[in-house]
Amino acid sequence: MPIEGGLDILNRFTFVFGAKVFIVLFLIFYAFFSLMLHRQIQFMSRKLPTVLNPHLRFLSILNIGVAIAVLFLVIGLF
Amino acid sequence: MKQVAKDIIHSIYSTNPLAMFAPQPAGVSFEAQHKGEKIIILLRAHIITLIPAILEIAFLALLPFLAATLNFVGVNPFSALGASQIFWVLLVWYIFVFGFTFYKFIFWYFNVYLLTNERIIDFDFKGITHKETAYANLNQVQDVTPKVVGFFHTYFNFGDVFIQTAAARNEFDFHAVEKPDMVAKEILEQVRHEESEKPGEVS
Repeated sequence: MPIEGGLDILNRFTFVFGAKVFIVLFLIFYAFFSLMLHRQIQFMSRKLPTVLNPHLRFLSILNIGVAIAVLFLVIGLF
Repeated sequence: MKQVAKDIIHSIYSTNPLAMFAPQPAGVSFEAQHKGEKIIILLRAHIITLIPAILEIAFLALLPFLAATLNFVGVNPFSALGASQIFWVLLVWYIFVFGFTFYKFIFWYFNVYLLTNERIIDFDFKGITHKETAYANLNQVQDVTPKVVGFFHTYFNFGDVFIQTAAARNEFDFHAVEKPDMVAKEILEQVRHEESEKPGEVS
């Protein structure tokens, strides 16, 4: 029984660790994706200036900021 | 009828930044715009073409709830995680859903076709790493073909406008634009107008 209990804790720890690694890698990928999106918006804003572009640029910067902030929070708190 | 079509395009100044058919859009310009060159119509794909993306986004947004319902049949995908860990998983998931939605919107918003009094311009935003801009002078336009095929296309009056040109890119496709017949008619009218001008004249 104690051995089974120990294995259960080990499985749970492995699952949580796996989930954390997956989420951290996912957020790193997402941060790069949001950077690329921001660059595209900057580029297209130069090509085709419209009244909505400053708002889109702001949203894309916010998106990068949130992605990086959540990445560090997940590393520290998950 | 011709007069009505002409009136819609030439008498309205569109101020809607999200318009899919914007005659003489206010506050819009573009890189390499010539002096005296004015935008006659700005076109985007019809809003109906966004329905598959909206359904995908709705599905992604509801997926955690669908996963939670699995609990009722005895499967709990979150059983090994604590409450705070579930919070982080959900937060990351909804950040992803936001990013996906934003990407889909940007993709639609920056895929723009312009008809000016001098040129046709196709801004293609085909993916996160692929963008392309093609120009053709109106005097290089050889043939314009509007095409409306399918139930939804006919009902909502949208379709493709194929433009054959003598420019570097020999075919332009204004994909899924609203009022394709009116767009084609206006392009031909601008071509006729351009041909009647002296070389180098901008009006």
